[in-house]
Amino acid sequence: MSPKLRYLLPLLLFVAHEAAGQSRSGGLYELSKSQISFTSDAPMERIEATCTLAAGVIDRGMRTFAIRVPIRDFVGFNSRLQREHFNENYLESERFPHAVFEGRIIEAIDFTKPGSHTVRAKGRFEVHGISEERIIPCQITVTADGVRVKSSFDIVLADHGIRIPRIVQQKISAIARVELDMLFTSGEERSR
Amino acid sequence: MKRKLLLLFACFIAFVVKAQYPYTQHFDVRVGQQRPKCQAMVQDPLGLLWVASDMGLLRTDGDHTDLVWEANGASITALTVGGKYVYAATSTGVVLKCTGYGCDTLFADTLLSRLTARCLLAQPDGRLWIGTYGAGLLLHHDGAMMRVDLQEGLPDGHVNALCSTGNGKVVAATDQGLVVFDTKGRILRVVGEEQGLPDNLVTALAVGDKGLIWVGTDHAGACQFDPAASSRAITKVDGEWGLGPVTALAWGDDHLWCGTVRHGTVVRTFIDAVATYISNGRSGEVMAATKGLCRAMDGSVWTCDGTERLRRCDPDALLAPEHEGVDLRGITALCSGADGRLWFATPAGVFSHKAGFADQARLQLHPIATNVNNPVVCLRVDTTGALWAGTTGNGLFRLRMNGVVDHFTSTSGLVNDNILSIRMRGYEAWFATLEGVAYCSQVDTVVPRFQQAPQMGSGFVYDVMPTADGRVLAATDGTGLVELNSAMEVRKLSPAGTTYYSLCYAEPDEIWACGPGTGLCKLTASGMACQLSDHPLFNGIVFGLRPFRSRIFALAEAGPALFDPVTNSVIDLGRVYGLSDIQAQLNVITLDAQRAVWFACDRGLVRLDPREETIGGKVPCFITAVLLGARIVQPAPLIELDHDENFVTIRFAGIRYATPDAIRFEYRMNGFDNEPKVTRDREVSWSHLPPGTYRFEVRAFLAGGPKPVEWTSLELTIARPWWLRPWAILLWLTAVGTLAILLVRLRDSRIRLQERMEKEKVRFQMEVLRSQVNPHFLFNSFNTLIELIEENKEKAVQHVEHLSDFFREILQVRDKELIPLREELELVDTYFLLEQRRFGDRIDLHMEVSEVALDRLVPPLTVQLLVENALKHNRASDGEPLTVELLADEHRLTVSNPDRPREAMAASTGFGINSIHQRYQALTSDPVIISRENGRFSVSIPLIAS
Repeated sequence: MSPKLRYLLPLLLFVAHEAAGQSRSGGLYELSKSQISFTSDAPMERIEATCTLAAGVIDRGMRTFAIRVPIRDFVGFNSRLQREHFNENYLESERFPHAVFEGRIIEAIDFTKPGSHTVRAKGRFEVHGISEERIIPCQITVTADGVRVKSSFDIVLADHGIRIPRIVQQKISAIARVELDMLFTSGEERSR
Repeated sequence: MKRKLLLLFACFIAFVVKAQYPYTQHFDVRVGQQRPKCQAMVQDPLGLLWVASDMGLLRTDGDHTDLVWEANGASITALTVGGKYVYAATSTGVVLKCTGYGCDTLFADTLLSRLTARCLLAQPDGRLWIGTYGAGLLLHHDGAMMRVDLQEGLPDGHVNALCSTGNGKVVAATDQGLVVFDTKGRILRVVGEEQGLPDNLVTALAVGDKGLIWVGTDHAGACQFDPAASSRAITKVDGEWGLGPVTALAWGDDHLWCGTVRHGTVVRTFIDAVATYISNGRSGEVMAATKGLCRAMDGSVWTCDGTERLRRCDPDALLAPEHEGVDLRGITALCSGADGRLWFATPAGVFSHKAGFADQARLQLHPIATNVNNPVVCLRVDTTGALWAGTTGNGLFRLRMNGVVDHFTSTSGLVNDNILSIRMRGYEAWFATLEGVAYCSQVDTVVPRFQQAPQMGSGFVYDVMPTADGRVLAATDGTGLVELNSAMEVRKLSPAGTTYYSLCYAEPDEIWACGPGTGLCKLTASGMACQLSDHPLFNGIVFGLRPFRSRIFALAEAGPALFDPVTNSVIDLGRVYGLSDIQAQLNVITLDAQRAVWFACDRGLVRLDPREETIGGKVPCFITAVLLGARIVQPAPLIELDHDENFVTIRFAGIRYATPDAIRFEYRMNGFDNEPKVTRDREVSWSHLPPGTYRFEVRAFLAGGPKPVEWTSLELTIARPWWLRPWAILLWLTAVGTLAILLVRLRDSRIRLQERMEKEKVRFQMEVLRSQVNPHFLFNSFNTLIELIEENKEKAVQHVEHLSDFFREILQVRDKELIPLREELELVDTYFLLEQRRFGDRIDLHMEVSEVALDRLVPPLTVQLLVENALKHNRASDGEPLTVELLADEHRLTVSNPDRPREAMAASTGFGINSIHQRYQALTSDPVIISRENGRFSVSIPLIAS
């Protein structure tokens, strides 16, 4: 078990507990490679940043999942000052170091057979300390190695209590577009 | 790819069809200075709105907001209304049962604190259904709890919505489809995608008509579900839905309201696809999610979006500033056809809409050539279905059903090229022109013939109206209302100099007219009867009149208004729908097939169909709380209060969400001051209500409107304090009576004592007098005197002087109660001198009196009596002289003498000592002490302080 997974286990156990009564816990897929980026496309400026240090697991038996993204590890931006503002003024990553999405996959999919599925992930989506219930459509591709999840969705900053001062409204969009591409591999395979 | 295109298309439709429909008001909820974040709403049976917010549970009447339950960090996760209670589930696992008087905890559950309640449903049988986020369904009934979860066949533990069908069944929306339950919570069936549900993830439910249920889904929009049908239970209404998850649903009056995450609230008429949507924000802004939807009893629908702002959407009104890119604020003419088609003219052309904006049909532009200088100012559809359009300066157009447009001008036989109004009567068309009235008797001919009616004074005619009985009425500039009878004879019906702009016919047989400054005028047998010319709504220009149900609709500068000729009351519709102070063209009003009124003004095209609750002046009114100081009193038909609970505040509410600020309350406190008072406030307080029985009465009405007959009342008694209650009063009376009797008795006994003393005194004086003048004393004195006369004349004279002094002193003191000892001793001296004259040296008086004692008091003649007694009862001889000792200190005086009783005693009356005893008893508690010891007889009397 990698340190990342250990870090995430309590969260996952909570998710598993929440879905108590459902089918027994199957194997765990662990997030091995991820690229999560957001884009703010404002009239005056386009800001992009990417994080590759997310941690996450999928329980394929119970179809639950938990993903945790460290806000401070977003890189990109148009300047260092911008990244500083992002961390200090808007996301307040000292107080709220992580973005979390935990929940379950609505559609039943067969993780044993390779194939591609469009599913919806429903759960608690937390950014900036404020949780919203979200239903996010994802593209899941099951391969022999593991599972690849791709998705893109919008975050309305106001929903998460992130206030954009009027003076920078032309530079920061009220909606952030998130693109994610995550590769989950089964724990056993990794240990092998 | 195809899916994406469709999605895009759906979005396009949603954004293109953008009339501001329905009319939306907003209310900003405040609790003190704070702005709550409103998440959900329900309406209680009284009509008050309950709002779940981050601050707690709020209750509002649109004007005043109460914080019924304070959240203190928790949040309300579900809210419902059942009977007269409002139920709320909190994030801490508590389910509250609330009335306006506060909330009680119905039960608390640790499971619910982890997996929060998402939805609640209170059934009439007393069961409370709780849908949870992951733990299935809970049923609470009579304190017992039943859980329905996966083991019982629930397809998924996440319940998103609950809804009751008409026959007691319950439908639950889960992440894996719909579940139908019977009344006791047994699963009857599960409906999922295999059964035709477009999306398993059901997010919202709403009760539809005839036992049908509206189902809102995550990605497939809404569909209709028949819980009773065995097959084909799902009816899809959305082909392709591109507006994201449905957050909430409401149904009513053939409108389906869908709350969305990014597109505000979408309103659709049944079966038709996307029609319109309510803008939650400014255009171009991201719209907040619709969190709660609530259809109110007055037909309006409320939405909240997680801010302090509540929106009230009134489907009775439509305001469209523009439609499909056509600016509707410059409409110059308007009319409706018998087929429901709505026609209007703007400078951009003549348009029509098939169903009066009720569906998604597109606007149709008709080939009638208009320009800015010659706008179309009147439109009318004739019996053949052809549209007639009159212009200023460019004659008349006729658009036939087959699409052919005819143009008639003065060169082709028309009297004048300025047509201000057109009205039809059968196959006749009548035209108001700037050169009198013209008419055409056969509108269906290909080349109609126009004729000129006789001149009627002024050439300017604004409106013309043929009546069913063959007359034609014309509203003219300067000549007032003019009648043309069937023989074309002109009769002026109003005084010269008046001007009318608009005419209308109202059932049963009334003709109304209005003009600048005339108010509303009704044609009577004796001429025009005008009224309301000084009413604020009518003292400006009135642009036009139309009959509306049993009332007269008037489009005035101050806003649209309704006049009720029966009650003579005016309803300010502009205020109700936010359309005050408008500008419009003359007579741009029409009624559609549903008898709703349409008009155009500088705000856009407006459709108003206010229901009776809105235009009737009735405002439901009720008492919401009674407070003692800050404490809320439990409700009861008769509220009984203690005598010190007389600081009473009564809160009341009136429900009129369209214009909550126009509500006035009239109240009176019968029993305190019966005078009714009018207030805008929603509460009234009394600080010191005296004990008694009161009847508080309140009624609500709209400012300027009629007052209802009924009052809402509340009985209130304030108890007397216990010391004023009948038994206490009786006690008081008894106590006072007893006291009085006692006092009287005391006084009586004192008087009796005094009387006795008085008698005693009189008797004493008499005895004294008698003893002093007793013959023995006198005889002795006279004997002494005789001796003296013989021996010594001077001494004899002296003796007589002494004798007379003694008697005078006795006379002086005998009436007095008390005299100073000094005076008494002077008397004793005189007496002793007299006696000494007789006894010589055989008697002696030895006095030792302190200075203080001289000012003390004694009853007169007491000491004299004691000295006399001493001389009288004891032997005195030359060998054994009798020495009487008189000693007095501060407190007592003692007269003592050697005890040598005479053998031959003069008969004693026994009066002396006894009388002294009695007198002292009445004067002081100190005793008179008589002692006979050591051979001395002594009497000690107390001295009385002055």
